[in-house]
Amino acid sequence: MLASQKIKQALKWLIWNTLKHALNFVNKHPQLRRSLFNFLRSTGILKMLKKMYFKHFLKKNLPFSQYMIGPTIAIDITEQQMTVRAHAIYADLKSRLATTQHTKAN
Amino acid sequence: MRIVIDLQGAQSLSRFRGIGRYSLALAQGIIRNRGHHEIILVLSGILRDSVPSIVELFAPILSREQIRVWYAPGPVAEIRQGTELRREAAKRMREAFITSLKPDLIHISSFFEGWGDDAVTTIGPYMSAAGHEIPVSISLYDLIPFLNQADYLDIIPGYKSIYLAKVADLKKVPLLLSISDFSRQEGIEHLHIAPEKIVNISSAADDFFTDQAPSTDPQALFAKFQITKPFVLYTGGADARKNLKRLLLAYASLPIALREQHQLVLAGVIAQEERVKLQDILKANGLNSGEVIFTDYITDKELHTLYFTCKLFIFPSWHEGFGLPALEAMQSGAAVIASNVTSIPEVIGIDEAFFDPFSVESIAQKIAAGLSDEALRTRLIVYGKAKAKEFSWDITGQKAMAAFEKTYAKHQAQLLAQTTKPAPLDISNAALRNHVLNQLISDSPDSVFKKYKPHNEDLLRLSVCISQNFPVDDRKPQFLVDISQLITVDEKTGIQRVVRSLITEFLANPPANWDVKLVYSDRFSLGYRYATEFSKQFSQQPTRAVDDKVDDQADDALIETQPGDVFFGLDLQSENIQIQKQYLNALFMNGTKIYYVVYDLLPLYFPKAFPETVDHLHAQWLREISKYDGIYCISKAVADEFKVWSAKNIPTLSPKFDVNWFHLGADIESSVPTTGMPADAHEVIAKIKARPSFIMIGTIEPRKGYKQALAAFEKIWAKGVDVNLVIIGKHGWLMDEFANDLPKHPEFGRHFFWLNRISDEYLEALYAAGTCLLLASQGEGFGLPLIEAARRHLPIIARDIPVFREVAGEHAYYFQCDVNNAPNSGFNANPAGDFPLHNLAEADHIASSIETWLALYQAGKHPKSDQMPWLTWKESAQSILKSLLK
Repeated sequence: MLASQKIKQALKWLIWNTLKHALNFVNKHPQLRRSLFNFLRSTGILKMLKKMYFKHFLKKNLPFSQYMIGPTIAIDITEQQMTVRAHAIYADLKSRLATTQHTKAN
Repeated sequence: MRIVIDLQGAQSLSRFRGIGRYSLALAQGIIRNRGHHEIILVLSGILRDSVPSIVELFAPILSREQIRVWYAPGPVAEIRQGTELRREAAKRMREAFITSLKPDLIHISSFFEGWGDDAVTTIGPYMSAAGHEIPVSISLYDLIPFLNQADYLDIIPGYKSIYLAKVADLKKVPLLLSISDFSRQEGIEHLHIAPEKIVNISSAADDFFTDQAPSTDPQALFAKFQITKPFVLYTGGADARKNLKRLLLAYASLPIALREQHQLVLAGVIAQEERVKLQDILKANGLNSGEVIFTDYITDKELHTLYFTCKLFIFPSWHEGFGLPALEAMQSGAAVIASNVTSIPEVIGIDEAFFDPFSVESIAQKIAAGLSDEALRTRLIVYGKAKAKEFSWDITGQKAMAAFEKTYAKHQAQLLAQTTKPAPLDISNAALRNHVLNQLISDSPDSVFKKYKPHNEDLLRLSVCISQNFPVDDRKPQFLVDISQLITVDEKTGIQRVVRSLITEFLANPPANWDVKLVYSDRFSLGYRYATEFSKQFSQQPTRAVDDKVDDQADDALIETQPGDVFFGLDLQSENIQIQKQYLNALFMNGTKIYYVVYDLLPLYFPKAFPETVDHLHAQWLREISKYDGIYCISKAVADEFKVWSAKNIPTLSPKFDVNWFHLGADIESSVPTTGMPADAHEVIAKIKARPSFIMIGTIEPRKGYKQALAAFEKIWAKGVDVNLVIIGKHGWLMDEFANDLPKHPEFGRHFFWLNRISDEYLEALYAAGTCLLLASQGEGFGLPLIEAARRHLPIIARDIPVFREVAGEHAYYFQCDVNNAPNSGFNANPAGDFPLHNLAEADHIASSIETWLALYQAGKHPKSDQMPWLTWKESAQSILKSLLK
């Protein structure tokens, strides 16, 4: 095996191992986990990471994947990913819910 | 009459069964026989996997605007816990969506769906609003679960009540289309439905099952399944009514001598637990392995080959709605014997073929007769083929259409007879959107959110789906022009000049009744956004907009599309499509037409003229864009090259894929020209004017023929001919050594000039100062300099390649190089050919051509470019719009 390949393998192992340990640590601390994921989600990093993950490891970047609802992104959808009209409908739904006081929405 | 067909029967788990095939074939039969009626297919976006194949299947007979997709958040299967809220929302969404299509009649391809999959089928209150009922028709396949509840309903907890509720709904509709006379009689007898409400439209086998030839190599198939003797064939499921146990017992009871000469083949998937039971029967009755063969999954082609080659086909079922395998076998030329109960006799029609499915002895006798009585076999084959011709999907489609017409007429008559007319119902998208919102959340105890509490994720996803399902009423269609590359950086390439010129025209002269919107995407997130800020700046100060990156893009909104919109991929951004293909596919399936501009196929024809992998990326890009509606090539030559290349490289290309071409404009002033002159411009222009000057324009890269041209001029200069060579173009790729050596050339600054990255203003001045345009390029998408030169009456010498001939016609002087070394003759016919680049042997040809041309020029006999036809950018843009938005 070439030295460069060995280094590549070692680096891969190091990255995955570090990631594994980091995730294990985070999983054991729910408060930290929640904060971290909220941060990653709010900044769009989580979606980007997931997309990279699906694209490179699971080959999920296929037409009509389960992460789309029609021409709209459904994976971890946030208000930022909604069209103007969808946003208005969402606001309408929330406001109706607030007035009928039957909500768990946050 | 507008008939809306809900085709979820071809999308749910039933798509893997006869119901799925029946639903598709019936819809095709109806469409082929629709006459003056309009058909719209409705698909569920929750069952997204099946949408592309259905759209593709119907493409030859139905426009994409007539295939509509509704969306709801999934999963919604009844069997799954916690899906109630989504399912109830989906039911209301579907009904309102179908209503928005303003149907005169709705046909539901399969009603008993949604238990184990995400189909949603209801006949809810909105479709039957008092005085505004929409007639509903449903395909009735059979009542097997209803009539055999112990075997089919009681064993699945929770399923029975759902099934029986659907049966109750079935009784309410004005029309049932039964697949056989037998299933019609079942409906009348067991559901007490009025006979006039059930019409037998029968069924048919696919034309693919013929008696002409097997679909696969029989010997290979026999080897695959270890079939070594003439065989009896069965295909179908293994549930109780299929009667496989009695079939095996009957086969085991055949005389040993007969069994030794034959095999029994059970074709198709049989669940493992059923298979174990069947194998126990084999063992218990002395049947050896090899006497009975289980094929497991087989393709349709393999099935046809088995039908075609079997000695006898047996169908022992004791309850069928139709019995399609028997018909397929008859149509394929097999001798068919079958049970004499339920729908099977009406399919087979010859008494000699029947046996009592409840008698092992009767089954065995008929098998023995079928295998040993050759005359009987012949009669069964001949009769079967003739009988099969009585069934066709066109006949079935015609019967369905006749039933629709009758039901619709009756419905209209009832409406007319009403003494009090109901108030008009608002079924605009806005009203339906509000209706759905009210159904979800209102003070009514029936509202979905009163029963099931939503979470924020539900609200987000529902909002997205509602927005998509109920677009803005009476909105102009959008012409979405992709400028993803230009908005990032203006590289000032030829392509970007085209983009700038065309968007200038599109924005300045938008097509009537269309909204022109510039859009863009990036490589990091799904979706396209309106380039609102860029468009604003570009309209005011085009040059500034493309020179200075617009910083306010963060506020740009995501695009919102409706069926009928057009997406025009103007900018060349071959990497984005890999990121955005999910999104583009979704737009495409939702009725947005997608076209791309193809500038050339040069990386495929001249792979060595481009950096490594460019050819691969370009091919990948072409393959992706070929999945949509069509392309606009910038010349007929490029369109021809695409056709040649795609014929070899995209075997799945739709025959409806639209390959168009247009010509570019030539008026630089309309292409948002750049300005600015260098300090030495006057000195250079004076030198160029001083003697005959040949101008070459284009990036310095291998395909352009610069090396050969410079070598040719070196030969000319060596002879003392006093001419200039002026190269205008930036330093490109794979020519570093050549480009770096240019300023060191002994004639540099005297007879030879290289002007790198100049403004359009300077280019205009050089065109005016030059004597002749020399185009030595071995391949081009269009050759914009040709018409820019013609516009200034500048004579042209060009390599004789198809695209230059197309653009310049007889208005240029052409040089041909050695056919053994140059690509000219076979350019269109040989994609991905290994054309030689930098062939310095060409220098002699080019030099002699220039000298010949000079002689003609001095005598005033050279071809003039004055009369060459050319378009303005306005005309170029209008030619695209005229054909694209027709």
